Amino acid sequence: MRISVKRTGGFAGLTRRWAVEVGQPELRDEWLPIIESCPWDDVPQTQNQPDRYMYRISAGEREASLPEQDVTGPWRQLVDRTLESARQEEGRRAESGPKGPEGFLRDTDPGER
Amino acid sequence: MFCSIVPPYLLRRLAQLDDRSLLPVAEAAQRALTRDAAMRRNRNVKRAQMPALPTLLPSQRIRATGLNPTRQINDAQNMERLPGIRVRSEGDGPVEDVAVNEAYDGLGSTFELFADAYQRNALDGRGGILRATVHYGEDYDNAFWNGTRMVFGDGDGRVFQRFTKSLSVIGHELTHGITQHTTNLVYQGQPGALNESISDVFAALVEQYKLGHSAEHASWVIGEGLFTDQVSGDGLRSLKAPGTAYDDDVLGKDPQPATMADYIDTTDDNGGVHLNSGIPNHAFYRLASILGGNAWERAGLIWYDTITGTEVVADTDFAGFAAATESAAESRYGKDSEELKAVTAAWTEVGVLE
Ligand SMILES: [Zn+2]
Repeated sequence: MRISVKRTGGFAGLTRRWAVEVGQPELRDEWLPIIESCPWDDVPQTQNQPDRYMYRISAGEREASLPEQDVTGPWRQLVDRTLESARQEEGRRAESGPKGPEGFLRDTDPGER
Repeated sequence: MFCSIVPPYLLRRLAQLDDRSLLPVAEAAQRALTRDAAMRRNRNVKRAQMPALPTLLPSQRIRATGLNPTRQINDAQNMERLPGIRVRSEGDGPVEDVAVNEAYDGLGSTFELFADAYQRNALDGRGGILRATVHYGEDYDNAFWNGTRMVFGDGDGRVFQRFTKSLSVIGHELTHGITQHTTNLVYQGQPGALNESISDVFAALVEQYKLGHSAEHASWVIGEGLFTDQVSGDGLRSLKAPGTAYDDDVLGKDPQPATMADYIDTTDDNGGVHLNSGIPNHAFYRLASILGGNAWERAGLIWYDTITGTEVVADTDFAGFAAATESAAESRYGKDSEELKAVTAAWTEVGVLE
């Protein structure tokens, strides 16, 4: 299953994307419990706070858009896990390929707790 | 498993990043120095020639009337919890933490523009407390207004430095607070882009007022000094030439449109609020540039009258806002005034009025 996070907006208005392709058994054991607990069909229509990020999160066929301050609970878990997995992949690529400055594309964690 | 954010070509570029020439930044710094020197030579002469505007009071008189800020700076200690602990209050001397002092001073400069030029007492017009939190999150590449306070991240140190470093960021966030107390424009689509633009316009004016830069001498760049020296760009947005603030191998090119012909239809970023703001931004720049002199005076006053008047409401679009600025210019300067003509010309140039 393809799981992706697209982050838009913020003061700088720069778009960032992260995506992972997850296969079994990792999908069933580690990802689906989080994905299933996200309220995909019950996303609150909150107005975003000025200059906060907007997130578009997708897992397979499911998709939801929510402002940074609503990325909490299972949403936050899903986003954090996606970013973390994408970073690990980036790290592996950087090791096998030309050496890039680590952390340049590393992202901050979203959401105000 | 794959990661779409780092294609191989990008990694190759990243690898070269540390060796990249610092030339663009050095050039930008040199340009700024030259501008300042020229400005200092001309300033006294220009001030002497400038007719006194009855609507503008010199700072000494404002201070004498008792308009003074009440500032509170908190530290989130790199967590994502607000408000964080109080580290500096009004009247306290500087502390060791440079971000705290930048926030404190930036709040002061923003208060000063609104007090001196528009006789506004803080965000709510009633002397309400100006609140800021610094060191929000870890490597957080952003600053925002949460409805109560402005919040600053430290930046990741690779692309962005700390967000308090640029006075225009502070002016921008505080102006969101003023918008909340005035037009309350919704943060979506054209009203959202206007909300963004109003913050950029007054952010630019806060800097220009502090530096004594006229419309001709100002940089009109938002977020100058935010990028590290590894990024090719003057800042994040340009009111003078939207779409030209940065052009970098990694970040790409500043995507802002300057006119309606390039208006961007998107669902990202609340309907492109940080993109299409380039259009009203450029209209303001054109107005300031046609009128000449200090942009915070006539052009700024027309914009201030517009946002504190009754015509602009939560869902006003570009055309409605343009009409409201015409009304504001007419009420203050008259229907045959050069100011009203300039307002109409500016909106026509960016394609909002025909
Ligand atoms: Zn903003």
